[in-house]
Amino acid sequence: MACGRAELSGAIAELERMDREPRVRLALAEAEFRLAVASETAPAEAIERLRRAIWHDPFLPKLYLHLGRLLHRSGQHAVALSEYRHALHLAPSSRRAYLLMALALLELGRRERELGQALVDALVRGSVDELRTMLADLDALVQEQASGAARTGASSGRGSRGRPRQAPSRGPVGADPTAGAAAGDTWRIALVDQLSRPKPLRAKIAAHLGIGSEQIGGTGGLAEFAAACVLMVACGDPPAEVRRLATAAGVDRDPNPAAAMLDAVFQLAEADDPAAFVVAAAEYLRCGLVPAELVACLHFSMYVLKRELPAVESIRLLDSYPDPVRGLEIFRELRIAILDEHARRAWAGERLAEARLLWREAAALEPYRVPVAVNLALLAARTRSVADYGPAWERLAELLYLLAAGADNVQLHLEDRKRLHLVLSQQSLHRHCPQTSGPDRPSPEELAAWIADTDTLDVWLREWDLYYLNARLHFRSPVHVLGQPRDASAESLAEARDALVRHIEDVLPRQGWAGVGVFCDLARAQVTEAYQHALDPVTRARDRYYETEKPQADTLADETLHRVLLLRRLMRVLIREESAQRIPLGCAIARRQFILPRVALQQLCVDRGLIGPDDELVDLFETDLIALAASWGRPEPTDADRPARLAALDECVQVLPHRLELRVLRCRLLFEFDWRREAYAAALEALDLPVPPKHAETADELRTTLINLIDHIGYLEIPEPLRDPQEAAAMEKTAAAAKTALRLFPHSVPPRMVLASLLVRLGGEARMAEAITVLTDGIGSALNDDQRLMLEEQLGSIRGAAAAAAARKQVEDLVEPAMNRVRDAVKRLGDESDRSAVRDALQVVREAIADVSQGFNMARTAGLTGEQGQLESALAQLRRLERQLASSEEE
Amino acid sequence: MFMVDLSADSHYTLLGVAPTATADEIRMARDRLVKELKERHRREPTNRDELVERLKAVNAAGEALVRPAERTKYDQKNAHLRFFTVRRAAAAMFIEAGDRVDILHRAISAHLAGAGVPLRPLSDLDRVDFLADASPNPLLDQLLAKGRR
Repeated sequence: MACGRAELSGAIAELERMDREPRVRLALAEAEFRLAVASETAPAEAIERLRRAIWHDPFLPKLYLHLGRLLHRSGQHAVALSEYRHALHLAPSSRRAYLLMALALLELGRRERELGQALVDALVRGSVDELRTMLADLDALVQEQASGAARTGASSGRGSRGRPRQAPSRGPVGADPTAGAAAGDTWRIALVDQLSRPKPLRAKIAAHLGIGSEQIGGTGGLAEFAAACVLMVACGDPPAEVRRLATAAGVDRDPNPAAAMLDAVFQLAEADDPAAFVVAAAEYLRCGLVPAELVACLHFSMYVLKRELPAVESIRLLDSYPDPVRGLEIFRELRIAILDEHARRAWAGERLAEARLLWREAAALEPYRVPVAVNLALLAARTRSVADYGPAWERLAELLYLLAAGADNVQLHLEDRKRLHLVLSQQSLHRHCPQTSGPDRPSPEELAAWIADTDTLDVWLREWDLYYLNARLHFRSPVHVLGQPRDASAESLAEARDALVRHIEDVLPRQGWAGVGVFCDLARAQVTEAYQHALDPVTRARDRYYETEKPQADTLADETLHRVLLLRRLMRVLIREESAQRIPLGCAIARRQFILPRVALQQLCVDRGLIGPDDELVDLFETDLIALAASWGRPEPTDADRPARLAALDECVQVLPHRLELRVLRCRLLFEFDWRREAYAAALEALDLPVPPKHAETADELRTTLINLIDHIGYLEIPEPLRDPQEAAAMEKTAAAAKTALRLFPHSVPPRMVLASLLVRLGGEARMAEAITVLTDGIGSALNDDQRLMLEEQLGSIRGAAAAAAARKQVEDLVEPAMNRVRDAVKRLGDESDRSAVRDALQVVREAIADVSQGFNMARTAGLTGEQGQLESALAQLRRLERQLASSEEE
Repeated sequence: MFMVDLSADSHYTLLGVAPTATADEIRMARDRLVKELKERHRREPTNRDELVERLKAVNAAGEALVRPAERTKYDQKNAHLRFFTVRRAAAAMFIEAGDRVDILHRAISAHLAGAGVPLRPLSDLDRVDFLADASPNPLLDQLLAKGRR
């Protein structure tokens, strides 16, 4: 019935077009089955096809058997077990199913393993009743375990899929041997099982081997028997005893590769000394008589475990193999095993330098082996080696993340990561704070001591965040990954997701480990997936991990709350110290506060009465950091302190970029340190900051502070000696200084006003126009209403003065020439006093009177009171002259 | 510089068991210690107070560790105990009998298959050819025959 994939797929397609009568469904089931078990079909596809086949025909035992087999091979032993169980419901006599079930049980817990071992023994004995009894034992075990979990389908007496136990069987599962020849197909499994136990039962081994010897006449029987003998020797059975059994079975009489292999193993196991062993082993490997794994196993057993050669001799022995042998992968593993064994002995014997050397050798051979990294880290801690400690523990952490990233699996080494970070976090906390539960615990003195030990505190701050992250990723229940209750709203779930992603993005990249970027992506993907599942009400309702993981979830919630409270207490201690040197630590603490899940914690704190219902946890954190930042100037900084103080405030601004208070503090610091341009720029930048509505009230006050600072900076740019000029030359100098100040600080009002005022005082139309331009530009770029008002007021007064000056000029242009003509006419009259001269002079005077009157009116309109007076007396004089000239003309 | 402290008294060290000991091992260790202490209590009347205290400590440690929920809580609080244990770095075949047998069996099977003497698969887990498990189905076989033509 062999046929190709394409043919089967074509047949399936055709069957699916037909009406779903029973015969069509049975054909579909068989077609899906054949495709599933084809050797080229990938396991995932095969599983899917078998599930479809079961849907078409739920009563075919071989479908469940093969589904179980595939799940078993992929490591899902518990799930495979239920499929085998179902196969046995339908085919209660299937030895294949019993055997597979036994093998699956051997991979599970202690009770399952015991059951599996008993099942293997029963298979060897071939007793069907015994097998059925054990099946009942298994059902009882499953029932017992299910009653401890939230949900199971096994309690109703129905099969694992809820189908009736007594469904009609559709025949045996493949080719099943009869019970009579039972042991023939299982003695090897039983032997392997015995040899795998910590304490194999020799009697049972002998019995199984006895069965094997009876099979020697059959196909492959000798090879199987010889292989079994080889296994026994390799697992430590005395070679002489095994040789006796083999000889009795006649193995040595058959020129068979298996027999040759067995003979070679006997020679090796009976070698006189290590050197002879190596020579013989190398030769056997060269001739292809034995596999390399066998040699490695014998070597380790004989010359590392049983005969304890010193480490140096052990390595020398390994080095005496020929190069091609030493280059084999299994020999590299053998070397690592030897190095590790000697290293552990050295550790136990307090020969720590030797242990370090040996484990370092092992690390050089296999840099990604976690146990080596753990051991080197423990060694560094035990020797208190400052040089080794940091690199060793960093390497261990890095490796745990790198391997997970490389395997594309966040769950890999997760338990180790969680434990590592928890250990470091706990030890760093308990170093100064042995008691953390109870009122006023840790005490203020303990907190102060802890703060003084910055190294230890840094460890706690860092490690707890990493522990928290791994603890969250460890959950299988989506809502527990997010740290939410089962009935959380979509918004809460979204916020929790965002908080956890923030946590990942804040905590991991700063570690600088290789592969951490990939790990971040994986972690983010898991969180996102958890969110999607949690959103779906059906998935949420079917969350089978929720109840079992709830105790751990509650513990983690308590730990998180404890963390929050401790962080706050630390912050309060720092604030009380009133020292700028504590600001960086405060920022580190604040960062940790803000990456915690604020919404969930807010509710928790309110529920436990730690804060009032109207208090916002985040506001408390922010206020604390602002209060701490206000200490930037204490103690008085030296020049050398300045960069650090600025860096500290910069960090505060980074943590809370939206808080104007911190920007103001920063500007003040820059100003106090005489970094005026920086202070000016920072103030302008801060003014552009959008402010959340709840901070609007304080924001106005803070903005005014910033603008005042900007003004003050501009004013200070004019040198003090130049600030009050009296003479024109001094005024010119001051005006120049004001222009420079304005160029540097265009939004500062004082230089602008000083410049405008000086321009007016210096006089002239051009200067007047310039002053108006300066003020008009200032109004356009004013930062607030106060600035605008001041400039507008000054502009108003300048404009008035300018108008007066213009009017004055006009009057001057009109009156002066007229008065000059009068003077000229009077002078000519002095030289020529005839009638025509008098007439001419009279004419000039009368014209002058008209001009001066016009000028007087212009002065009056422009409010030039000084000029009015002068023009009035000029008019009076001109009128008197007119009268004189008129009477002279008449005479 | 902060360094972890490997030396730490614990319920495990008191009972003389590894942090990875099973509940049975812990129970046995506790019972053995209690028996020894009671013997000493009879033989050393001058040390009675100290022995009574020690007996109480041993019982308390045993109680905490044999109950799964209590032990989980204790282990969580003392995470370092399990972590601060030197690990075996060798490949699995050099550590666990089961892994050793499994790997050796595979190696031997592969070796003999290469030498032209293949072993039968131990179980269906080692097989790849399941043609014999196909069942005749008239409709399917008819369609396949048609397809071949």
